[in-house]
Amino acid sequence: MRDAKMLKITFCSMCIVINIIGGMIAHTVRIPLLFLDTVGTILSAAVLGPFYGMATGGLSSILKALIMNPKGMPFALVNVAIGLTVGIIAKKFGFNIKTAIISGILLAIICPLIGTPIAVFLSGGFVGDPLDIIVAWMAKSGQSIFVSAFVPRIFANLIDKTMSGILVVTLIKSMPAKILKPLKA
Amino acid sequence: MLNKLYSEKESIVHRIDIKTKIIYTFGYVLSLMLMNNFLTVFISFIILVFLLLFSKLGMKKIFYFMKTTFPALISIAIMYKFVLEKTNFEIVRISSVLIFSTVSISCFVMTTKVTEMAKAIESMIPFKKIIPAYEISLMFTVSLRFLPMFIREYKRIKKAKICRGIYIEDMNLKEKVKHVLGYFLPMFLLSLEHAYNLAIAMEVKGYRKKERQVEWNFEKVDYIMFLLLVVYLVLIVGGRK
Repeated sequence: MRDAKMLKITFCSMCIVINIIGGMIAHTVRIPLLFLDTVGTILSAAVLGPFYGMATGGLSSILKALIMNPKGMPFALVNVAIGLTVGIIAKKFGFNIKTAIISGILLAIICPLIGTPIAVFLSGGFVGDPLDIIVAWMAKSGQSIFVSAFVPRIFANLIDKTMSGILVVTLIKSMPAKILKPLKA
Repeated sequence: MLNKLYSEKESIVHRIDIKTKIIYTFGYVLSLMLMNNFLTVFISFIILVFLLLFSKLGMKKIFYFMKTTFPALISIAIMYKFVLEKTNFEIVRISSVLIFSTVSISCFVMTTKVTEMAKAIESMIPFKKIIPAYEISLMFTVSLRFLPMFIREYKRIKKAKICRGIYIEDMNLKEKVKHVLGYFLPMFLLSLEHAYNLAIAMEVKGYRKKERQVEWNFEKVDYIMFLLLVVYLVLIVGGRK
């Protein structure tokens, strides 16, 4: 293959599809606090870098909003931030189990930092899942609504993003060299 | 499947340029932050009603989207009233933000063809010399093309697992985690194969970036929508206490 750029574009497109299918897999598997809807974003950012990661993340949210859940469109910013963070980490330190866990921890803080203000603005911090009980309990104990909505989301994201990162490392290991080599070049 | 949410109708909102719709929806959702009394909530509601009337969308379609917000609405009502002991206006305000934003975004989605979105993405991206807008739009189009096929494939894998007696719903947590890869790996390898084949095919056929000028062709109806947005913003700012 002479033109790796075309492969990069088609690979990113498939990562967008993986993001949507990941969400469907999480719905089937039903593991608590596991959403798997950012696996494609992490994958493209880890293999291709921050720009492609950001594009994959942003486009996934737009596509998902257009065909499944319009309410999720404002959260596209969170997906863009995931692509940027993982892309920078992967470019500087490579992407292995160790960096996947570190980026999972980082994303557990960055994602709620961007997602919580959006959730607080759109629905007062409550989204209609069991985490709302913790949000209400913290708000009742005197914390601001932002802090109350932020802290439980850290734990939810910690599990999801770390698991997604580890899954991506496994997937990258299973990639054939004929595809991985031009992508990394 | 992809056009399931799109509602084919002959209406003013359907005729509006997609870029106008994006700006209008974004402006409207942001303006909901300015609501601080019953008058401003009422103004936002009236504007939304006009939008729905002009779009000719049935209430059945709107309720289809509202289903996803019901758990959050119930949660807000219970938590705000009984746990946080907020005022009635606060409950109305936050519920209105959730309902109005969902309905306005849904209205945008139901009056916009998914395929039009790729063009809009390309034309709306600023700094085209730095950000490769064409490539981003191409990514979107390719993913749109392959998504239905992957959903079919995923359903096939799910059924194949059930045929082999693997009922993931009945498994414990440890077994479930083990089986996640069993779902992901076939999909991932399939996606790699398609990405590679498509890239080769495009290269062989000499596919190159098209140099095209994407223009902002606004019509009368688009200018009316902008005017409506400005009037609405003036009203909502003026109506604040």
